[in-house]
Amino acid sequence: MSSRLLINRSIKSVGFGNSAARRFNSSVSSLKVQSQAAKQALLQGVSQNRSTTLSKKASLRYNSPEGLDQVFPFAYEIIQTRSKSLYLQASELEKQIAQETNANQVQALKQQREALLVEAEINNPEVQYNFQMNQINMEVPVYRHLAKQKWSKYEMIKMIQRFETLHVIPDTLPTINPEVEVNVQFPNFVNKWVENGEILSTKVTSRAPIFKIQEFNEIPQGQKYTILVIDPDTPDIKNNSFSTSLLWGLTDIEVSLNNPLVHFDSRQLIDYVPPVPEKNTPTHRYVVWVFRQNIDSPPIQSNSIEDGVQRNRFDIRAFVKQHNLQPVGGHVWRNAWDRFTEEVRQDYGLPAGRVFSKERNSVRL
Amino acid sequence: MNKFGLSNFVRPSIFRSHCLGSIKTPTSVSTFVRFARTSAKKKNRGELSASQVRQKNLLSAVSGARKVPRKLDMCVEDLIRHNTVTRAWALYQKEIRDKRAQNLERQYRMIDEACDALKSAGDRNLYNKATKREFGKRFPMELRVPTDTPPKIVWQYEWSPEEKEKK
Amino acid sequence: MNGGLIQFARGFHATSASAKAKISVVEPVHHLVKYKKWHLKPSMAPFLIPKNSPESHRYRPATTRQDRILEHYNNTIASDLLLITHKHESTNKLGVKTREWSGESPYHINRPAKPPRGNRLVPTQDIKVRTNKNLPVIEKVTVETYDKTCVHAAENYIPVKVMLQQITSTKPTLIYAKKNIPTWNLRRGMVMGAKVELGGRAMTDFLSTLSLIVLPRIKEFKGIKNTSGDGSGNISLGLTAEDIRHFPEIEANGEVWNKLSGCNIIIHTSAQVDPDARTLISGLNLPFTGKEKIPSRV
Repeated sequence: MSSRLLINRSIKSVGFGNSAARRFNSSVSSLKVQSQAAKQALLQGVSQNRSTTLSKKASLRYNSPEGLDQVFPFAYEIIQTRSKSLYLQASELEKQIAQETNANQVQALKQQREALLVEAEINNPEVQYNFQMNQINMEVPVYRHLAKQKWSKYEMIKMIQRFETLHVIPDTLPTINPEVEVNVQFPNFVNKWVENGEILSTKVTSRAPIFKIQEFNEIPQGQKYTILVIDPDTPDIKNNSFSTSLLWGLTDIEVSLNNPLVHFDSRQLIDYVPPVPEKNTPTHRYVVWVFRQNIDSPPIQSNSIEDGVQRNRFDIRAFVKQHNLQPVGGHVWRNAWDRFTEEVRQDYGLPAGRVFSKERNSVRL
Repeated sequence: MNKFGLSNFVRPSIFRSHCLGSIKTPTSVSTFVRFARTSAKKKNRGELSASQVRQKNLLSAVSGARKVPRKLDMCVEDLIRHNTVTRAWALYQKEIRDKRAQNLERQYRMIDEACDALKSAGDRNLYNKATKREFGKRFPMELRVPTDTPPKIVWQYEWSPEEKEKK
Repeated sequence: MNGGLIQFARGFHATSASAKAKISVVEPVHHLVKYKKWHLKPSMAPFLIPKNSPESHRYRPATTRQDRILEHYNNTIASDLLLITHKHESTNKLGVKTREWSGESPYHINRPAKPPRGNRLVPTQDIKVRTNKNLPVIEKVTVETYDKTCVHAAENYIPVKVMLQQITSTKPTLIYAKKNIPTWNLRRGMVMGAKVELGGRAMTDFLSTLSLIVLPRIKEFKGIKNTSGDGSGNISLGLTAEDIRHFPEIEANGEVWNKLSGCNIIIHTSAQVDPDARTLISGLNLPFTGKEKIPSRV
């Protein structure tokens, strides 16, 4: 009993009350845990405040690791002191940025400043808690950094791996260097973000998808995006090969860091036509390419042959070159002919699909 | 080829297996080898010799299967608190490391500066003597690695190794 | 006709690849970001958790107590070593190297390089200028035991292994013969003994036990021989089976150990030459004895 009292007193005497907490950036509310109960459990230990992540029953049985409550205040003190000095450095850099005239220099200094801001907050337990609970504000550099780290450790490499194994690169564009996270969802398949390379039913893909473009860097003023959905597996019987067709094109898309969803009435380059693979053709890949538009380039005209927008025999490489687009992300799903395909064709008023023979030799049909 | 006309069939590892059941090694192979092994096993079933028991006990001392501690189950808050402590400790250690490296760097610079000054002073002989690299240097045995409980008399200032040799 | 020709282009009318190569083909890679394939494997997910996180199954608490020897090195020995090993205006000394053939003749391709000039057959490392950044430190300690009787009874590795684990508190690995030696009845792959490589806390614990408890109790021990050393800063000493009995872990239940074997202890340091390594090791209460020979190239 007496030892418990002693521990309580020692924690109070070291304290992480108002004076110490001021060292982290207190002006940004998203760097703090919003729930008061969770904050107390996090900063004062779960032995005195009930953990908000454990059930009531589980917290009765739960014991914190020995000594953690005693040592935490000292650790918190060290991290706050360091954070304070990093914020000081960042504010000095800010003064330099205000005086600098060279644009490249300013860019470099801004990057340095952002790195300092990330380092100042990355060890803050409240930030770590918010990130784990997904209560984040992507305008704040530290959350952007953490989100990018998480994405590039798994989702990004999975996407690259799927693009490579499905030969999306180099069949569509020569290579990919992803900078944004692209997610795709279909209205017929609610609350499920499609995994890269997944084979979907044509019924699911019969309505236009919803896109999410998550940037991890600050988005410059006036930055716009273009999305193309293409099918590089359209049969080209004449040449005994395949051609690319354009399913959907969206342009002049604007997204923000905290609102990454692509607005449903963005300007269309060409209307959405759902994937309707013909019977006995190999499984088709449907590739979504996301491009950053050049701010100075003129807008791409809808349905304009001069601008390279055409449904059949679409040349994506020429299109990218013509409009000076920067590929920053992508997604791929797959479709094969199934029992819903003819239904989808009828809904969209498309002609009946061809049926190829199952066994096709190198001899032309 | 051995006398049974089997080249590599009878491998030494069959006789000298690492498992305890095959410690008794047949000295002469009169029957077909495959059966020789099983019959030896049958004989030993259920009973281990004193030396085998000792070996078994020894082996249990080095096997790590049961010695892996259970994973610590922590709630989210405690995990974050633990990571905060770990990070703070790492930062604190880095601070100490940097300070130590700085001290050594300063010492090295000062040694170099002193040698440079001596060289520029002009006395070549003195410089050569002062900067000669001495080999065979040893730390004295009396320099103990400090402990939490030092001896009552920490250092005997009057004592010198030369005196000890004279006695 | 074109069995070796590899065709990557797909034709619509073919059910399989149009030309199957009869050789193994490494597919070209088009992505720019480097990644490791096993990171995507679900079964490897536990290994993606960093080792120092308590969520990892490999987590071990690292710093649980003071490291006296390390602190002694940092507080006392390091600065003294800097002074002792300092040589004003010294330069890097290049070691002797093997000599490549000039490549003038087509017969030079794949021809093994000539041995170094002079009577040395083995190339030596360069000796760099000693500064505050490359002070000699003890990198690791290897304790190894060979048991002759393992040749006749392979199970004899067990007491050796247990003994090493007892005195070093680290799990030993077995040593296997690399080649046949008919005169010893030794064949490739046979167990010869066991060894442990110690680093960090386990290493300093072992060294302090050795210098404070074991070596002072050995009557005939005068010190590590000054002739010991491999020329590049690794010093070794040997303990007999009787010496091993002085380890407190063995002494506590000495009657259990009816058979012990001696061991070799190799102290690996980052000193570039043996004299520097000896100076460093002498700072840990390990005495040296005999006449020291200073190599000509220092």
